Amino acid sequence: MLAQKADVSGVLLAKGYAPRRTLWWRIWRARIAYILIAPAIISYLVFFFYPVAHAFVASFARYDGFTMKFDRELLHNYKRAFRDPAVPTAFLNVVRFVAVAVVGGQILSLFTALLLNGLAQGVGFYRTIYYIPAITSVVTIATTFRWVFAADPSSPANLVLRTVGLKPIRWLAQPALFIPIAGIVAIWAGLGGSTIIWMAGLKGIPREYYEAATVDGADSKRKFWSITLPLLKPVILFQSVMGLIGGMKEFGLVFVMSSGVPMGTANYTPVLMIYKYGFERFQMDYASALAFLLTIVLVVLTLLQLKVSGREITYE
Amino acid sequence: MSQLARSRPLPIKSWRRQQITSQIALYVVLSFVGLIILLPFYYMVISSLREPFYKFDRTDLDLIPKRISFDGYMAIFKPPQPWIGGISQLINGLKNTMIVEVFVVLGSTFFNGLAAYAFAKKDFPGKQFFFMMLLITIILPGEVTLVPRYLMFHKWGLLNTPLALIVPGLVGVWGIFLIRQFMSTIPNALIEAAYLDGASELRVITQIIFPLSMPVLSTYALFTFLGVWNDLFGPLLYCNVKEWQTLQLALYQFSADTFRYGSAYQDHTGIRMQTMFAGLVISALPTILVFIIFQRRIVEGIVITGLKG
Repeated sequence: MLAQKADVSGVLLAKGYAPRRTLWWRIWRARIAYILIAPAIISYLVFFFYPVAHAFVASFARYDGFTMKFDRELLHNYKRAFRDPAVPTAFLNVVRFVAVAVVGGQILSLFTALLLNGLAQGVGFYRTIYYIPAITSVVTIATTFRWVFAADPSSPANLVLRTVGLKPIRWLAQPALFIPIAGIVAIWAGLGGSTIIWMAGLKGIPREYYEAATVDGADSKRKFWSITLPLLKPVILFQSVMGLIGGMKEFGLVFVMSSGVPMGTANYTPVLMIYKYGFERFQMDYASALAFLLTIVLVVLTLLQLKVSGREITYE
Repeated sequence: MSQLARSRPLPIKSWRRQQITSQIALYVVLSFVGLIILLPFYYMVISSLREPFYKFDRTDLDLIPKRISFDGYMAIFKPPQPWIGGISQLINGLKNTMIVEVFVVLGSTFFNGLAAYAFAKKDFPGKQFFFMMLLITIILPGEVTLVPRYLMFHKWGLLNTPLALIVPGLVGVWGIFLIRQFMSTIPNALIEAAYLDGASELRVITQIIFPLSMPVLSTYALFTFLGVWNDLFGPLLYCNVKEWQTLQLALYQFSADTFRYGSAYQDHTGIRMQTMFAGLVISALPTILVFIIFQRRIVEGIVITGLKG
């Protein structure tokens, strides 16, 4: 018992004895490790790898109810995707959503992070408040804003317009306004999380740089443009790519905020589009092909993000 | 010349005065941002406290209610239109969410903890391979599995049962990575000493590894709790029946039905809107409380994983 557990093999190996151990012996010896990882591996095989393979095959098939059929034309789902006007709408909506939510959100959250960084006391208090929307469910947020920006003349947003003396707007019911409003809600919901990440980035900048700049007579504006911003470049890149990935995966906000609003395809995001085709029209084959196109985009973005987060800028 | 003048230290008194005014300015701006963040929540709460037959189609914002009533909350517990089994749709949803929470939070912390331990402390043939396998799932988005999962659950009879939410939730690759990172800091000597004392693997796991990893396990359990509580997508796709809908799905449906009623958003009970907002408050409150109580853990987790929301 004791000899087996207190790893003797290490001693033997160190002395240069080539152990005559087969792979099977080593596998048997580590059997507990396999038992430990088995639930995770089996779960991922069943609920991830098998569905991915299935989706890949299904994207070339034709679905008839729940049965899959193949015919001569294998690429028909992909061909359809390139003709479908909903596809460019969905991806353009991501661009519009990101243009509002990520660009606006990053500038605002960097601003709040800088202010919080200058605060002598009470940082935790404000950080807590700013983060509250991020831990609130998308249903809660989207339902509230669904009412705030309702088309009625009596919705809160329209009442605000009224007090300023403006005419009511059919906010969410207007396709051109829907995605930008969703973006603004996303800014509101994401401000706390981005602020925390900016603050972590700001903490990583050595104080000496600022001290040296003060000695050289730089004012705070100059310090921001010459020290803070360049050194935050990795954080900026990271957050932008993360925001783009988040925009591509956006579903809940758009789905709940547009419930009951006749929209056609104007509010589509890629995932909402997959949902509509797959789960409302039950075109499983076409939905699978769309999911694969989205996957290609997301894999490229994720690899980009991994590359970005590995790179660092220093002034050493 | 002007640069020289700027770098000359100010007299200490005016320096302090400047400090104080700039601090006050910071507080003002940050509090304003905080108010904007909190305003929708405040609106949610006051809307849930409006008296029955309150006119939601009005011409002023009415942000400071003159009368409050808890009838909206009462309607959740004593529903005017019961869902199934005499309870309201939201209570039924709450019950189902709790069932899923118990299994997923405990199960995923346990199973991910086991796998994390193997990856952190064990050496076995194929370790790299299995680890890479899990890494790939981070790069490939889960969205691609939506449709096939639906077909799978349909074939296996899991569709529209809570098992469709529980079983896939028992393992999560982020959890494995997060916990593994912590477990690899546990000194090997401790584990070896236990072996020498004749401890079995089970004892090592239950009496050394898991107790020492409590900080990371509880952080992960918190994230899982929040994730399950707030999830809409899973229930919407895989567990979308009256009996088993979770709180978020119930809320979504309840509000979608409410908005369908027309411009006043009320039915004959006169508390439809209030009940909806009360439901939103009930959904938001536990997560906010959990966050405030455990916020240090959660903030650390956000920074480590770069995760938002």
